[in-house]
Amino acid sequence: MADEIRVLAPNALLGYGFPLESLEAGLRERPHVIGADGGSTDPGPYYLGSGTSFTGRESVKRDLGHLLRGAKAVEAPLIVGSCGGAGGEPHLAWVYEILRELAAEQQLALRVALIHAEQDAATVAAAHRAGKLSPLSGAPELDQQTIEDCSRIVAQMGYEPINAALSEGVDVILAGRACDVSVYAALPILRGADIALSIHAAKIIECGAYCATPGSATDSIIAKICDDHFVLKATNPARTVKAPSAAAHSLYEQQHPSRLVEPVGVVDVGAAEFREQPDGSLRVSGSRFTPAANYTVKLEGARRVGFRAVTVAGIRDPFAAANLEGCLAGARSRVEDAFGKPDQGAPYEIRPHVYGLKTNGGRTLVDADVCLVLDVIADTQERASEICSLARSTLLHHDYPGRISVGGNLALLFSPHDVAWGPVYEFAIYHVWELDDPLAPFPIEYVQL
Amino acid sequence: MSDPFLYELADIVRSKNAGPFLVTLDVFIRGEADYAHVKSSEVITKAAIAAAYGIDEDHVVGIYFWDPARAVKITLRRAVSSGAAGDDDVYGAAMHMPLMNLVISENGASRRAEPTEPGLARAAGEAARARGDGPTDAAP
Repeated sequence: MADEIRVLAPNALLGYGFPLESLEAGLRERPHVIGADGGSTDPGPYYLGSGTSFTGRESVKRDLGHLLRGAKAVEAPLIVGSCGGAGGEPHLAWVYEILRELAAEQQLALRVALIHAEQDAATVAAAHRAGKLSPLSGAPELDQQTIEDCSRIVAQMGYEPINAALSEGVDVILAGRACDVSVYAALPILRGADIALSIHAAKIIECGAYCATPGSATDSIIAKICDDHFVLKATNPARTVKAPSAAAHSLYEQQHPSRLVEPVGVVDVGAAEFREQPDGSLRVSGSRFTPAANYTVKLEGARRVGFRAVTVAGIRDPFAAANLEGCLAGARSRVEDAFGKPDQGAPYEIRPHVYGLKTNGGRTLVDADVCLVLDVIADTQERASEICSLARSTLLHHDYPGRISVGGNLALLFSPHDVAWGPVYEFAIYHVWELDDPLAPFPIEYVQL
Repeated sequence: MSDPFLYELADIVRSKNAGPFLVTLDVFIRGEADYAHVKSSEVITKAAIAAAYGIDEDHVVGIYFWDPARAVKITLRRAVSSGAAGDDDVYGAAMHMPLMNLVISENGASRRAEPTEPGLARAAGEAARARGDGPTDAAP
């Protein structure tokens, strides 16, 4: 490999933004690749299930536009992982459409690879029958029905499909759901860098300058991967990379502090040495790789469980707050009269989320406004909204012992009061899938723009 | 002086999803001696964490100490997976209160290796308890 492979991470997530000076400073380092992570499961199952992005279109387009220009200027490939947040087909298509607009606007000729990550239910069901799926810690056991009920299933690609596309000499890779690490570790590994160092560096920079001091998810960092160590440098001179914060980031959002589990194996960072450099960068060495016995990727599936309606209200009268439980019972009872019991016929759920109300030894303590968020889930949007409306109006006027404020119990926040919140999803699949071929579930499509 | 809360010994106490079904809590202890004390004391055990969070012990997936960062990592099973019906913290970012309010029992005067701002931290603790965030049975 070259003396060092330089990987630029402009920020933690495509669409979060970054200072243009930080990108420029990063480009002056002549990165061999620019990586941008587009997604996460953190925003929850809705975005995977519904096929929508949790980042805004204008924000993504602005970031992507700057990165595209920068990548062209230094002739480095640009890799976007987990396009559109959840990395399914609609998410990938959404980012591809933005890229096409930008290519036209910037009058760029681009060779693009689209790497698909959405899986059809039949493929997943076959893998399940063949005993190739196992639940990740905390995830439920799987059955055929659950697989069929999922609105969308994606698999997290390793670095191998990205490297297959890089080998074709593309300018831009838009990848569906991908391990965060794959986006940044792919090119160094392809060029022969040490796999443990590549993965460890990728894990630290996948949140941009979040690992720096002061940390920021909206600023840039560059990793320089050498033979027996790597160096992390914030491209914004206002930030340095210190040992504690970088070490801290090694274990961020990981189940285990020193084991980074990737499709290809485990990187143990327990014995890694973090040495601060005079120029504010950080030298890291000593991470070790152990190949996995079986190559596995993560599967994520979201299932729709109903539709939600929500109302938000303040409760300021301490007597009303102290009697909230009784009023809620009254509202439930009124809803049952009109719509039946929650677990009979068409099911529904009423969940009051009450903020700021504590009880101590049976006495209710109120020292500020209490906030009530009434969360209703039912089998259709219409029913959820109807039930929410009835529960809210009942609560507003419900009587309780000693009531002096007969004008109403709730300070309703908005008109209209209730919001049709849309479909509710849950993660029903969070499993590992044993693969014979790391490329097989991730077809690559090449396009000339 | 009375026993400190865990957050008084720490630079960072944070929680965050580790995937949709787990939440992971990270504590970075400020001083070497405090870290050694927390690591050697029997305060952070599966039983203590389960009690603080009101969950079954087998939902405490692991407790790991990581010396290079003076860190303790505790991984829990979520009662409700991220964003599913009934979840009220999608990112799992505000689940550290029961942990930060654990009381670390005194084992010797040498434990406080460097001066902290106990007055200030304690005042914040009082405020937290007055708000009802803190443990009701822990004397300050």
